[in-house]
Amino acid sequence: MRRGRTRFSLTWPALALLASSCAGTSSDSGIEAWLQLSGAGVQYVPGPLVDDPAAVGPVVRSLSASGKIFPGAVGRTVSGSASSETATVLVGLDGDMGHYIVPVSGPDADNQPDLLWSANGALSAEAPTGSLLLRARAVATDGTQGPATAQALTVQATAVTGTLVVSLGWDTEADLDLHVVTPALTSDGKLIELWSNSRTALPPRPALQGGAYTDDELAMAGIYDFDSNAQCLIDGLRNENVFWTVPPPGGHYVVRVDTFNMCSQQVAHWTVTVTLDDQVLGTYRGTSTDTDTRFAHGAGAGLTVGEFDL
Amino acid sequence: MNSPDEQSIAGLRKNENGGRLTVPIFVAVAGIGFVICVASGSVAAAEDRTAPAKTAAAPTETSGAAEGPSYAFPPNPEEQRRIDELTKALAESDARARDAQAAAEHALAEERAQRQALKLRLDAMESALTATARRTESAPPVTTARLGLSLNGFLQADVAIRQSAQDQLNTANAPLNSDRFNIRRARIRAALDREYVAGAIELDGNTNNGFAARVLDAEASLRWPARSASELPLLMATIGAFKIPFGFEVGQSDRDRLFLERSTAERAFFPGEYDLGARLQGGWRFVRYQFAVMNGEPAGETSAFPGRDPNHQKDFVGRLGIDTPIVDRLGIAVGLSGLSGTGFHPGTPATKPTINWNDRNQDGLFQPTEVSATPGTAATPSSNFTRQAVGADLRLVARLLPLGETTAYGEFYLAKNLDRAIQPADPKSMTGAGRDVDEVGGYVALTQELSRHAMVGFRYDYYNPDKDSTDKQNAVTVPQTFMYQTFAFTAALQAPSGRLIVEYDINTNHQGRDPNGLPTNLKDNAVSLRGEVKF
Repeated sequence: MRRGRTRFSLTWPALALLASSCAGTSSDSGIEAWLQLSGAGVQYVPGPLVDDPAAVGPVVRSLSASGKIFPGAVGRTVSGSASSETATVLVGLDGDMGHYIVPVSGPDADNQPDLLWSANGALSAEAPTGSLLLRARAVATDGTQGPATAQALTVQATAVTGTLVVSLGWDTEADLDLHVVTPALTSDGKLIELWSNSRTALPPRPALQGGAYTDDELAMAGIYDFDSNAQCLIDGLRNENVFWTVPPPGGHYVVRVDTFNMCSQQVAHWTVTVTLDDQVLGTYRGTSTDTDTRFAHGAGAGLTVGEFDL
Repeated sequence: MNSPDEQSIAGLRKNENGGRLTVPIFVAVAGIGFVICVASGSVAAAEDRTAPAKTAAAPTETSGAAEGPSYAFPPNPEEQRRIDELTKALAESDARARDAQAAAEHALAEERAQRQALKLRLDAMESALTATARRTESAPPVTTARLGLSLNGFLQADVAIRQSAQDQLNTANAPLNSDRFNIRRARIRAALDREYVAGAIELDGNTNNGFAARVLDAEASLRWPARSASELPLLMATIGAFKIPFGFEVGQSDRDRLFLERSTAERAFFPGEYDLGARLQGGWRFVRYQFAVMNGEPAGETSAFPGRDPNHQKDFVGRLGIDTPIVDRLGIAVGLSGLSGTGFHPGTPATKPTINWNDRNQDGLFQPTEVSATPGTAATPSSNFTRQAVGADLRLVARLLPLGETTAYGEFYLAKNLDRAIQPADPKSMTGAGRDVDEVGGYVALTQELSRHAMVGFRYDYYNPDKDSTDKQNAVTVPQTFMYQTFAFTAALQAPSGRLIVEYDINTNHQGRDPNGLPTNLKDNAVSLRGEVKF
């Protein structure tokens, strides 16, 4: 009997502890969601935002966000105003795995007694391209939710386009460099190699012969776009491209990947994709480790990962 | 039944041809003779203790004697009854005598046994007293709070020369020189071994990456004890940090292995050998089993999480095998192992927009064309991926040669996304999405004792961290294989308390670059000398 009472007396605190743990907010930060909001008092809620057009309650007067956005974009603002009885605003994308609670920040001086709300926005790099619908619902202090206000977003990828595109991407914050040896020749008969210190296939032009190339002239030649994570200054892109916007010169091309610095990463998995007129010529995959940083890093450096002829 | 009178009458009738005066005399003599004969017959029967049936027949003989050819007396019922009573009394007396003798013998045996036990006890006490006296006279021993505690350890100090050594630093400012003296392992282990409880704590110190010390093995176990000390427990449940129960080489003791390091594939799949988890293991006759649930982040993993666990999924790993002698001097151990677990792909934090200036013409002057803007990027989430492995191991131990023990053993692995050290696999990397990494590896080894004080060995090991890397994709061959292989030749001078080992490794890899930038072998042969002491 005594033992039974002891067990019984321990059961209720345990149940109370479990019940109390059911209340409160989720520890999920929403990093896996397409829409990523942050700011004072902003809270992620797992589960999609459900609209109820017939709902009666506070309303979102306005909703403002960038109409055109690319996957991985940061530094955007999602904001608006709501009716005076609003305490918070629920914001989410249709089809997303969660939504956010954004508290009102203060009165709307231009439209009193309405209230303003705002959050910092980012779009996941894994968000689908195309059209997405952003919705916002106002919530009163008593929990009453009003109908949603919506805004269409166009998600557009920032992939480099061109007739010939050689693209290097990798997965960790290491400093990798793309090198492409083109069939074009320099004035002294050497093959031109595009890489971070030689961004165009055009040979240097003296000032007497016209000086710097125009954009049109550059577009006709191969262009190296960006040195990502250069010197371990992490930019998060982890992508470099060499591309031609006009038909590239015929001949033999060599693609190399140079592991300049692992930036304290143990490994970097990389992929090189070569596309010609949107047709994939080849995909090359590999892994960089610290051993790969041992070799020279200038022109002609890197592991030869593929060769092709046009 | 006739009465005594009738018998006398019958006797009279039978001798009625005799004289009248002789009849009483004759009857008296005959009666006396009859009694004597009967008495002597009964005594003879009673003396025959081993043949009761003979005793039963005695009255008949007696009767026969009484009815001899010269005289024929009728039986006397009274005498017969008396004879029977005497016979019975005599038999009972004899039985009592036998019982008394047996009891006496038993008591004597018991007394002897007690005396023997007392003698043994006395001898043991004398021995203990002597040992105590010796200990008292010798150096103070290691004392423990519990009985059954053992303390052992070993030190492995190396000096190596490698072809790949350079007097330079890598991009992480770590030295590329590996020609150096090194404390490879300096371990001390305390283990508790009781009937139902066992446990161990092992500390490791080394200078592999500078002076370092760490907890390596820390385990607590409950077990169902074996029937004898030479057998494994039927069931033993363990929680803590222990060696991953996969294959043979992972569990092989560092202090016993002849070769300086484990094979390349093993170091790729199970770096550091130790992980945290819970394990069930045991043995029954020749069967051996080990099953464990583990974090999946071994001690030697090159990620940021060795000893921790970035995801809540666990690895399930185990081995089932046999270990038995085949014939008198030949033993075999065979096992199958498996692993099913979850790996972790780390996400990346968000970055802010930046402006970069690259002084490409190195004139020290700012030109607008040397500036580029970099947009910030959103954080990417971490994610998990599955990994599996199967393995088979075989070990033959023979004592056929007079030189000493010969051991041949080998293992074979097939794995998917399991490399955690050599070229860590990550199928969730953005650039390799949807592509699992298949790995294959194994080794064969032969060791031979040349006497109690010398040993030689050879091992060949092979590892390919991405066996699909030579596939053609879109009619274009991807970079060459990343295969590693090593031929290791080893010799050792050994004593019970230590060894001196020399090993020459011929390493083949694809980490070098040829003039065309294609992968080629990076010269990395090595010769190493190890001094080892153990206690």
